[in-house]
Amino acid sequence: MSTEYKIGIFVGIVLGVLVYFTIIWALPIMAKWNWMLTKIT
Amino acid sequence: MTEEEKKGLNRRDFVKGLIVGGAGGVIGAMGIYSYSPWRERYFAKATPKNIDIGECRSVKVTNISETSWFENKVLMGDIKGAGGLLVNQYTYNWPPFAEPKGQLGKGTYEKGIKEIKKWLPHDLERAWQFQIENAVHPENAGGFSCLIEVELLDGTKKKILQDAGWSYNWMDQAYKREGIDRMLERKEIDLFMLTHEHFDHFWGLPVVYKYNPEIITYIPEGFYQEGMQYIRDSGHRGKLVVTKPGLTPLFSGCAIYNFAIPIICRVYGEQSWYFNVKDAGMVSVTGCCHQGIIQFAATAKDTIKYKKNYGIYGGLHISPFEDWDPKYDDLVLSMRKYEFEKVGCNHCTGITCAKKFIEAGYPVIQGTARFRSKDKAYLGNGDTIEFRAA
Repeated sequence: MSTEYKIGIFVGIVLGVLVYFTIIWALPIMAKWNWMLTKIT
Repeated sequence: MTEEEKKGLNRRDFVKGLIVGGAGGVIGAMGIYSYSPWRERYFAKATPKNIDIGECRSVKVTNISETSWFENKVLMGDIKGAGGLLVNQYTYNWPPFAEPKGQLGKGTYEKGIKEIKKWLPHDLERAWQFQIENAVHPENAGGFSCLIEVELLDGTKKKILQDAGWSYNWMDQAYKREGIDRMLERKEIDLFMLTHEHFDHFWGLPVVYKYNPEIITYIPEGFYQEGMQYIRDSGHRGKLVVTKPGLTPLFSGCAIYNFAIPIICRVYGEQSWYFNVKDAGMVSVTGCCHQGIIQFAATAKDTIKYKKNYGIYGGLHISPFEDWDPKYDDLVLSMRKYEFEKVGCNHCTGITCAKKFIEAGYPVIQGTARFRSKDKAYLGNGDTIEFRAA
């Protein structure tokens, strides 16, 4: 296992966790946008 | 050799690691999230309604009959033969709606009632004799019914008859054995409540009206046309109250709760009792508990103002046919959360389940296994249970 591969895994984990929790955090905001869109259209 | 390799870096390895790490990171984050308190972020916030139904002093239940049928194998064979659990119960050609030489699964309410209507409710022996000669397995019919005696804080006593059983012969004998016939005749029973439309709780109806056709009768909303007609055909001349889904307080410390749920054999809606016993706690009484024990206990908590759970009585609908599945173990375990101090179960709870309750250390009140009840593990026919503060 090369050093690049290990660094890739580490960066991947950090990014994966960040992306997942960003989506979870953003869900209600996105739901609100959807609600606003339904009101506009 | 590429420039990167010359510099000692390998982009391909880094991207492979990034993909593996990214997938692992997302899956790991899902795991962390599902076990963390954050998962409750999107749950609907339930605010207990805290409805005050008052208090009563005690509740006593006499089990008139819990043996709804006598052989599981015969009952399940009939249901399977008629087309399964979702088939309309009035088509089985079971008693008391048998047509002449009735065949399994080929009957209707109209054809069945036509044969016996002239004898209802005063000549039930002849009506049942017709069933013995024509119905599918009339010998397997029993019934579920119990008497609930409530003492109010001022010492007044209320008597409630819950459910009418199934077989005319069996229920008449059971009512005579417990003196219910005389109580009905003397109008000592304040009200009659049908928990739901199932054959084993409802079809013995004319036996009740034979002794008191004017008794006020409570049914849950959702009875089918045949059921409503059967109440009239059974000779009822009193007030009929159809409860709406939700809570209906009746008198101090006593309320009916109608659970609007679909039930097997084409039945809809079941109602049960909540009694708030002073210095003891909530006593929940049910017929068959098709709503499930968890929903039954949770609804009391979410709806009514009371200090703690005290007791539960009735068929708890866990293993009515004495089968067992690992998911039933979850039900047994989850009941601990509600901390019942007195458990009076029988009927569709199943003997297997009652024994599991005992093994789990629950305070199950055991019975005497008389009058064809099969086991002492739970409250049998003729047994009583009382709920009051020590």
